[in-house]
Amino acid sequence: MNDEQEKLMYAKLKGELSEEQILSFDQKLNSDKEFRADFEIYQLAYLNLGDKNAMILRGKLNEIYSKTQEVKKGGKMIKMIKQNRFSAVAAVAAIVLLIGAYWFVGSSKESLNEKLYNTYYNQDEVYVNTRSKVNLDIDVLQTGMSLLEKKDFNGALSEFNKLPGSVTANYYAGVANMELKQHAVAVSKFDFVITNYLNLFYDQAKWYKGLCLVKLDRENEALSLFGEIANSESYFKEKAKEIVVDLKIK
Amino acid sequence: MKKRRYKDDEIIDGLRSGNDAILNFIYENYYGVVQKLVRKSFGTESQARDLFQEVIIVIYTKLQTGSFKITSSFFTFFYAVAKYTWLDYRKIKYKNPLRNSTGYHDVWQIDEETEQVEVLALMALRNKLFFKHFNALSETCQTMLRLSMADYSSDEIAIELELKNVTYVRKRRSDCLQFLIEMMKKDAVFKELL
Repeated sequence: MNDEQEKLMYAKLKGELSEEQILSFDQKLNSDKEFRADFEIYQLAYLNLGDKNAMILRGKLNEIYSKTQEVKKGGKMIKMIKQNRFSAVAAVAAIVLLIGAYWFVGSSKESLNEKLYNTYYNQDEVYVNTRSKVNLDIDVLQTGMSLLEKKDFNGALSEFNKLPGSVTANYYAGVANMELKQHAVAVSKFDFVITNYLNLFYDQAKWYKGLCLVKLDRENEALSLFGEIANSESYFKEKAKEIVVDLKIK
Repeated sequence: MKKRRYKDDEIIDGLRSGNDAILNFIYENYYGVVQKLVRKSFGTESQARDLFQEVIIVIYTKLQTGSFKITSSFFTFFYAVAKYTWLDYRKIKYKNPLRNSTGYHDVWQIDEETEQVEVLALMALRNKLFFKHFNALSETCQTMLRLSMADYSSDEIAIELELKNVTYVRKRRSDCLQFLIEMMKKDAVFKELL
């Protein structure tokens, strides 16, 4: 679909086409299969994403679902313990055995925190934030980002580290550190980013810092940070709610 | 403490206005049946969650048009839309001719409302597929598309995302949309719905 076609579809959905244009549009819909498929999808995007109230309703339903699941998980655990003390004792024994087995098998097995980390971690995609940057900085950033995209994490780091005062460079350095499993260093990079609320990477940096804390087994700090995200208007609000539940029942 | 029950009119009005108490009531009382419906045919928890959400959304959308009329109870209507949506999905996905089986009509006997249920079920299924692919996009893409469909210009999106380069925003937004369209076109279930 090209820009012209998109403009036409937008005008059609907005009711801004003349009678003649509508006729020609409908003819194209009937004769051009590709155009019809594009329009169907565009229309879905327009109707779903353009309806602010429906999007709010989706948010509310997600929230109700998450809350209910949280209560259910907690409820099930309490019910199980209350109903069958023997099972509870057996469960404790099983946990002890599992912990023993873990130590016996060694650290090559994935820990629960690692599992959580792997479940929730996705490397952020790279895009350039050129706000308040001089040309030289942009060159360094772009080189770093291009190396990051090529998964040359060490190369990317050496570029980003040239700009210790840049929020963008610190953020992507943190991402590269995570990829290199240098989670403690990544935390310090993200800390730099989140000292200032007014930046594009604030939400992401907080979220990634939380994941690093999980990976570093600093669960209490992670819980408190995810709790903070869950109660904010962050992009990661819903995910934070989920991981809080996972951390609590772990 | 005894939980409050609501009359159909109250539920419909509450859903129309997105009332939290009514949404909680609907969830508490209706989610279980959707879950059972999905699990009975080996569906997953996330499919049950999506199905429930999409059915609520299409009924909500229909309520906004002012042409919503039912003669059955709200629950019967809700369940019929959920069941049609689920059976349509399974029919297309697994090439299973459930539409002709008795499964469709055991909850739904009111002919004049069948058409409305079918239309809403199809809409719910399309929305379900749309969000499956939309949610798989990067967060930047999701935000750009959400803002652009809410009538934000490229300049406004650039400001919102604190990006200086409007040309980049325009190109990126267009790439995101194109990618979404391609992904949906490749979806076997969506192809059947076209």
